[in-house]
Amino acid sequence: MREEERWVPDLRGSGKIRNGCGRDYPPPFSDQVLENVLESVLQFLTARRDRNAASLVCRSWYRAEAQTRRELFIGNCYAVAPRRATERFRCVRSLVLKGKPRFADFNLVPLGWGANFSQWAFAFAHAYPWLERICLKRMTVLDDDLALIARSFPYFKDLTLICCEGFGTAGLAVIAEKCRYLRVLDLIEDVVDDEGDEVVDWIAKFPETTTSLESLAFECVACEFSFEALEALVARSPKLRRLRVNHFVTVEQLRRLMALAPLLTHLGTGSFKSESAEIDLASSFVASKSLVCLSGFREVAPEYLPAIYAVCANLTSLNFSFADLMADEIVPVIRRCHNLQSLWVLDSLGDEGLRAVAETCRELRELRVFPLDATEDSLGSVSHVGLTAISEGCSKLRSILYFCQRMTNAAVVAMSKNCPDLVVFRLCIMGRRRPDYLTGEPMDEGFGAIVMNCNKLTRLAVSGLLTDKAFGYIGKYGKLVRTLSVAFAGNGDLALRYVLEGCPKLQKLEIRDSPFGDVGLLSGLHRYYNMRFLWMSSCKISLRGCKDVAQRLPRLVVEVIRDTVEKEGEGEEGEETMAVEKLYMYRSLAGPRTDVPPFVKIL
Amino acid sequence: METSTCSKKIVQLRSSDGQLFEVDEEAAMSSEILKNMIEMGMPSPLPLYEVDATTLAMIVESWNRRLQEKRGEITEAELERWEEEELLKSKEPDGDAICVLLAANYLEDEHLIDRAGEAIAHHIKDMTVEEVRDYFEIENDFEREEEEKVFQQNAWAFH
Repeated sequence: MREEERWVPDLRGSGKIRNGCGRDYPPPFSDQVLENVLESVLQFLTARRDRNAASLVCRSWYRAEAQTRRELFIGNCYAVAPRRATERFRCVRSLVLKGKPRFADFNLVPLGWGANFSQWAFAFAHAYPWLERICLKRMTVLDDDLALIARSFPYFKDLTLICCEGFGTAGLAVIAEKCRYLRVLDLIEDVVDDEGDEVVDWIAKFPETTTSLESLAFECVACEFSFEALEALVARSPKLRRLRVNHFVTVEQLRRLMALAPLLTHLGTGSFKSESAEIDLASSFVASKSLVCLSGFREVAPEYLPAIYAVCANLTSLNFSFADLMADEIVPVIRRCHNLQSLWVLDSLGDEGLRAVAETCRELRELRVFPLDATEDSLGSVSHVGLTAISEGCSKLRSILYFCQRMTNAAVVAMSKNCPDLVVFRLCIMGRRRPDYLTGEPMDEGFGAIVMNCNKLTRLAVSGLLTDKAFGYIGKYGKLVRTLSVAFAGNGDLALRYVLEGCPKLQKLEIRDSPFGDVGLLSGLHRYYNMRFLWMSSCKISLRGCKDVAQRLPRLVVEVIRDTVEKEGEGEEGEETMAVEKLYMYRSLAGPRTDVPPFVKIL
Repeated sequence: METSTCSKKIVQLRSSDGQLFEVDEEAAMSSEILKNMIEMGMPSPLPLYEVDATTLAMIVESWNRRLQEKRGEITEAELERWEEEELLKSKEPDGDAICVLLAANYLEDEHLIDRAGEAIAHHIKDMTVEEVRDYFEIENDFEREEEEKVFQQNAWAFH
């Protein structure tokens, strides 16, 4: 093959461009020209799907793409070794890395399981001195890792940690102190634990000079800190637009912060209650004309709620999911939020409250209704009535997460017809295997309608009494479904087979407390290399079944996780047929990991 | 007597296929290559070995428009719209963005390189690998095993 055929765009035979006057480029020059030109195109390709496609076009595209990929996304930290990433991509500026499976959020993954960031931190410290951004989800991050970040990346700008654990205020202090160009420090639903170590006032460690901070979120850092330090920090952070504080901040203190940062767009209010007599908070909100997102409201004093009325009309996002309020305290707020696009709320809002949402929030795209009391037999306050109301009012809905005790097929079918743009549908009917509340039938038809009518659906969570029929619908009609969560559902192995033989785009399958066994597990052998992971806990699979999978798919890492370490003297006999408590399996280029704790066995 | 404050100096350019073009010198300075040639005092017509007449005509017009925008005769929005719809024809599959990009690269015109690059990227976004190859008429020079390895690495690790 001639050198210049590497990349010569001969426009569909029009002959318009043919190396100028038909001369051949001398090869080294033409290579350089081509790579430069290619880079000017690739710099505008940011989606990883497009980047991956570009890398496969031909060899020179592969090289140019590897040289220009700025954001590196790794969906499973154990799927690839850090070295392989750093060897291929040379100029990464931003890293997104995910670790534990999602059921870790429900305490199903024991502490110490893994997803350790350390080896990644080390590899990246050496390979990418210009790294600017790190976003980690469900990783174990140590104080030492944070110190390494602070030391290794002089241009570091953005640290976002979501559902992570392992670090404390000492690590945060090093970040605050050493990352001089920090713009974003977002700590979201992390477990920040100082474990008996002295709590460090990390907020006081930011340098005394003007900062570049644009976003500071530390709602989950349940440690006291010096408010004066925070106040001074906000005062010298002119670019700060997003501030989310923890519950130690009172309403009096919130007022002072808002006065210093009138241009805030996102505010997390902390506790929203006052130590002393009622103070004028309303004027603070009147002055905050740029606010579009409100959250916090832990330990809400209801008499302060009217203070936010002034900003309601501009709000696009409201998170009341920690606000334990009566429906008639929330509804007056809702009635003023005509432009709301995202609402997170507790089920104490009730069906009537949801009706108010449906009548007012016509632009709603995302709704999450969480249970105030998350036990199976609680008296939930929302039901099929609320869901129907929402479907009738909020036709632009794209994403819903709905916890309830009672549901009907009719309500779910209504939603499938009224909200055709649904991309995420997660319905959690609490209590095991609850049927249709009115008809006593299984919830098959409801979920069937969702997959049939919502053809943009990529994420689905099912619950309630479901037979194999429901899974047949899902397998057949869930053409774009990438993530499926199943809890307390299904009849038997056929259900799992339907899903694994259908759902062509399935990537992530997480199942708990459902009667699926080895037959179902083995029905997916042809799929597992095309999926990111499978999680099964409290199902009916055996060690024999898992070993079978491991043997036939050698590049799959098959982890059997116990809650307790194997006792000594337990015989091999009978163990093979014992039910496996937790199975987590994933394809990997890196082979079995070496940081396995004693309660995990890799088959 | 000089009444105008704008330079009215003209340069002559010759395309690779021999056609001559007259351009406002200030407009031609959009190209680093031409800027150097002009400052070095190279004699007219300045030869552009890698840009044919058709493409050069488009490039010259784009320079003139940028000059107009600079002088306030047209708005930035009008310039952008012309670039997108007329020059790069971003919305049409047979657009000229690739020609323009190669020429802009040769001429070292940063603005046009970015504009053309962006138009092409926008066009190939969401394309499959085969579609991208067809669009650029590129041959796949991977060995089969190599290609499979990259494909797998992309799918398993980086997606």
